[in-house]
Amino acid sequence: MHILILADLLGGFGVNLIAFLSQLVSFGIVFLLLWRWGLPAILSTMEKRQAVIREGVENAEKAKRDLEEATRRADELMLEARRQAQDTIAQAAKAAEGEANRIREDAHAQAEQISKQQVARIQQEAARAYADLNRLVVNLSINAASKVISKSVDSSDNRRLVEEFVSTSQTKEQ
Amino acid sequence: MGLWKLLEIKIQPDVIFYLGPIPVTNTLLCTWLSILALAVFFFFATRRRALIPSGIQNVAEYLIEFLLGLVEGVSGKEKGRKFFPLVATFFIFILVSNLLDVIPGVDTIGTINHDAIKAAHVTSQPLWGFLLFGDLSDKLIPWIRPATSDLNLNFAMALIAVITCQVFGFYTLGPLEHLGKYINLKTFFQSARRLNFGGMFQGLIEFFVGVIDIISELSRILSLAFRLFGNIFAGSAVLAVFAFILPFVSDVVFIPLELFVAFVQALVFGLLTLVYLEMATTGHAHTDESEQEAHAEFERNEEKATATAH
Repeated sequence: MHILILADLLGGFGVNLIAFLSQLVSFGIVFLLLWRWGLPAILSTMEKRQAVIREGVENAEKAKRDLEEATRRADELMLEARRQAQDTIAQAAKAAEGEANRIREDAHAQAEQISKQQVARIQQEAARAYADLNRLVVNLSINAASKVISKSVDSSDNRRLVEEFVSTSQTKEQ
Repeated sequence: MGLWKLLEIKIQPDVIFYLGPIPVTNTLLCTWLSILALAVFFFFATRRRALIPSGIQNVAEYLIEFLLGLVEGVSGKEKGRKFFPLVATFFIFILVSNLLDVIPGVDTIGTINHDAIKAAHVTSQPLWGFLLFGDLSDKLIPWIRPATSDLNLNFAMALIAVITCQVFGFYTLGPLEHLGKYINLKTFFQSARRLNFGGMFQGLIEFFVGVIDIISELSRILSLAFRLFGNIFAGSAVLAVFAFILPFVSDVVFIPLELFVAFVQALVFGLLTLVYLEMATTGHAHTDESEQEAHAEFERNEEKATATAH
């Protein structure tokens, strides 16, 4: 009874089986069209784009990480290089100081040696000059004595006597 | 004699021609036009699928992204992907069908209803050139009428929505749990075994709740179909009446309103279907767990409040 009333009511709204089935089939076609073709096509494009964007973002992040790693590594290398440079400078300074000391010591040694040589030479020269002077004095004395006594004093004994006299005088003077 | 008369507002769709034994109504024709429009739209939207979208591809992607976000927001990613094709089809198809309502010519271009003129025992014709004119100007059978103003289509879509809900419910929850939502005699029999009359009373209440749920499921078909029909049919009627009362000027106000209604009704149908699908695929166990969690959280809060007070 109620179903008949409902059917009558729906009939008044133009609802009938053939029209209903026609619309049902038509909607089925729309659904198949979108479900199998329209929506997947759009979704696949969007997913592909998402994948590309995700890949791009990941690559950018990786590049950023790589850059940070490279920067960190470069900083480390710079630090290491600076440390090595400071070490090298310190070593060089130390080596230079050592070398300067060595050169200074060498110079001192050479100067001392030269000084000693010069002193020796001077002493040698002085001794020679003194000998020359002695000889000259002897000669003068002999000549003077020869003149005084008009006698030749060329004999070797006289000469020896004079030389002994001179050396004795020299000792006394000293 | 008036210049023209308000077009006859009919609930039933008119038969335009027959395709074999099948009567093709003006609403069915509109359904086919909507299918054609959608096919053309998706053809152009997917013809050259560029990675950087432009033009019609952009529009299609915006639409799909909006719908996908909506569906996944309600049902989550996994279930959302399953519900998406049906919900999106409902929304897009209903939107296109509704939008056809505001295209000039829909509801206003058609053939003269000679049978109605003959029935009125009048010999004159309501034509002035190709325009309708005079007292018989309401005797028109429009070739195209909004598809969603036909209850046959709305019932077909509502039936599909409700049946799909049941199918998803069976598939997701299993037959026993799903049917248990409607035929729930478990508590009654368990209480009867222990002679617990209070429990038996509760069991009876649960059984009747299940019966009410069955009625509610069936009423969804009616509510979905009549809501859409009422809104779109009323919209068409409003446009026709105001176009008659105040031609050209009224359209400025009512056509934007109709566009809004077209969008809202498509969204309402799609969203309700989505909510029904979500409800059908959510079992009692899930609800019980949620309730238990809520109770536990309430008790924790109470304890905290008591501790703070002390």
